[in-house]
Amino acid sequence: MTAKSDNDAPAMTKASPTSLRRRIGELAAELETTRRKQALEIEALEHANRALRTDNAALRASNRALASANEALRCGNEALSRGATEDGSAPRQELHELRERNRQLDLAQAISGIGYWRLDLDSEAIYWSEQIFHIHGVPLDDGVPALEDAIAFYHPDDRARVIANVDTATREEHSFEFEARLVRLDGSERYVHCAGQSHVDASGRPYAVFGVFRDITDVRAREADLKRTLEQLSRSNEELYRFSYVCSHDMKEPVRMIESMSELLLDPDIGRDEERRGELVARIGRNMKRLKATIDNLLAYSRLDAEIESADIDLNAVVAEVVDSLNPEIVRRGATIEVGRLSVVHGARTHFQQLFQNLVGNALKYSDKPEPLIRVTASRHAETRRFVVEDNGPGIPEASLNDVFGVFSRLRLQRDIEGTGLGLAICRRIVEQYGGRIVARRSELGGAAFDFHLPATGATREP
Amino acid sequence: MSQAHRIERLLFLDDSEDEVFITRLLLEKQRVGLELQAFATEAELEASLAASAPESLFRSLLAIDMNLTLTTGSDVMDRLRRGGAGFMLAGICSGSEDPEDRRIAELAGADFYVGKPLNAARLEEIATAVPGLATERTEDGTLTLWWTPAERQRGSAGY
Repeated sequence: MTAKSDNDAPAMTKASPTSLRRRIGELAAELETTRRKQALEIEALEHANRALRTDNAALRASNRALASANEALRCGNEALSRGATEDGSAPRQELHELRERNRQLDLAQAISGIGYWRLDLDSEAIYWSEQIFHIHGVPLDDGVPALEDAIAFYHPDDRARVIANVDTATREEHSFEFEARLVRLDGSERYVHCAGQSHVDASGRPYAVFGVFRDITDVRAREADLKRTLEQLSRSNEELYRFSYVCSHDMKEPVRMIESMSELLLDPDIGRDEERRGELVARIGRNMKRLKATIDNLLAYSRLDAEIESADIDLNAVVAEVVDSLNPEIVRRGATIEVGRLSVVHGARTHFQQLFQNLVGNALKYSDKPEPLIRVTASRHAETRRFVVEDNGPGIPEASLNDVFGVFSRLRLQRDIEGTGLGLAICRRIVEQYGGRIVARRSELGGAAFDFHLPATGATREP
Repeated sequence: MSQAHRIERLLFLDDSEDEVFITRLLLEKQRVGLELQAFATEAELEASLAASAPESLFRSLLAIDMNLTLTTGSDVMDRLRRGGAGFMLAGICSGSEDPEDRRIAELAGADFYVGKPLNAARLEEIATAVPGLATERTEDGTLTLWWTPAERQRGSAGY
């Protein structure tokens, strides 16, 4: 008989009771394995939920993963149940979904930076989830290290704390939570947040310790950035407060003088006194000039941040121009200006003109020697170019070396040497704008030396 | 009962020549019976105080500018209070009249804090603020200041 009846055809696709039982058995085993894995992952994610309560984004990711895991488990259970009574196609579909959900769970772990581990106390065997390998920087192929080697990954300063927590959990029912540093095989450090607890049997004896890890290196880096930013902001606020205070005083004073003197000029008794009237008018003029100089310098100071076209600037030419502009005073004072070979810098020409004008001009203005000597030099260093403007003048008292760069900071009385107290504040702002720093010190010439360093990369090069 | 001393000198530490010039003119014009002695630096003031007889310091009123070029008025006041002239009538004056400056001046031990320029009205203000200090107009219209140290000591916790 070659022909097949209609009734026979479906029988060819149906499994025999024996094969169906075998298949159901396979499915049951597979689902049991999956269920155990899911149970561990659910446990891990419950820990993660607690550990990440302050990190909403990670918490959401964990919750999604947890929901996914629960759903997968539910599907697995349903598949197992159905598999016992139906054919194998439905469980296969469920298994496919289960694997997909496992894949999503792995992804959620990777995104949230969470991994889990388990220490079996009887066998001392350790299990690491894939994410734990990533956090430790250990290739998956290397396998899970022994307990002692796993502990050795912790930073020496943190190791005792880790051992104490895990050790307690191996002896009694104990849960723990700590932050520690891991030192990876490549030497890099990672910050991890670890939470865990012991698993105990019915008698209360621990048989395993379970923990979750979250890599919080980026969080710590962001916190450090934030802290730096806050400190910067605090300094900036302080400077702004100081700036507004001194502005209000140093600009208000000449205004107040002009106001008081004008009122006195209008007084009939004083107005009739020609000598006093003349003196008042002269003083009003000086105060107006001082006010104008202060406003001009404040304007220059506030405009330093403005976008100005940058170009390569030969500082040899800049200093030559500055010396030329100061020539009448140089001749009058009998001063000598020595200029060494300088670099080319990239920046705004006006900034460097102002920088050298203020430094060389100050050296000349404050010099108390019959033959003032001012020297401008440059030198190359590994990462910076150093420029020095020094003189043989009176120098700066040790206690004032840092203060001289403050806004409206002055070391000499107005009656002795006129000034607005903004020159060196402008110098500092210019240098800092190019990523450099400026310091004042005692010069070997006997007077003051101003050293400023500019980064060698990009900002400077040899002519 | 303590004896009242007439304040004869106004010691003024201010490095602005213009400020001293205006103060001198105003005191003269407003008939204030005080001899103005101005100092541009703390060192000049110290030298003068050291050379003064102690009893003359009871007859002096010291006003220190808050915003000196080389230091601050509050720092000078602090050093003064820790030094031998701690008993003097002394205070801070400022052109900015910043409330924070007032607080700093009081912490440094100032008996008063007033705005500038110093003139008859400011001296009346000082007399109101300092226990034991009073102003009086003489018959010829001169403004005079009188200080009763005991009352001041009872009224001030700064000593």
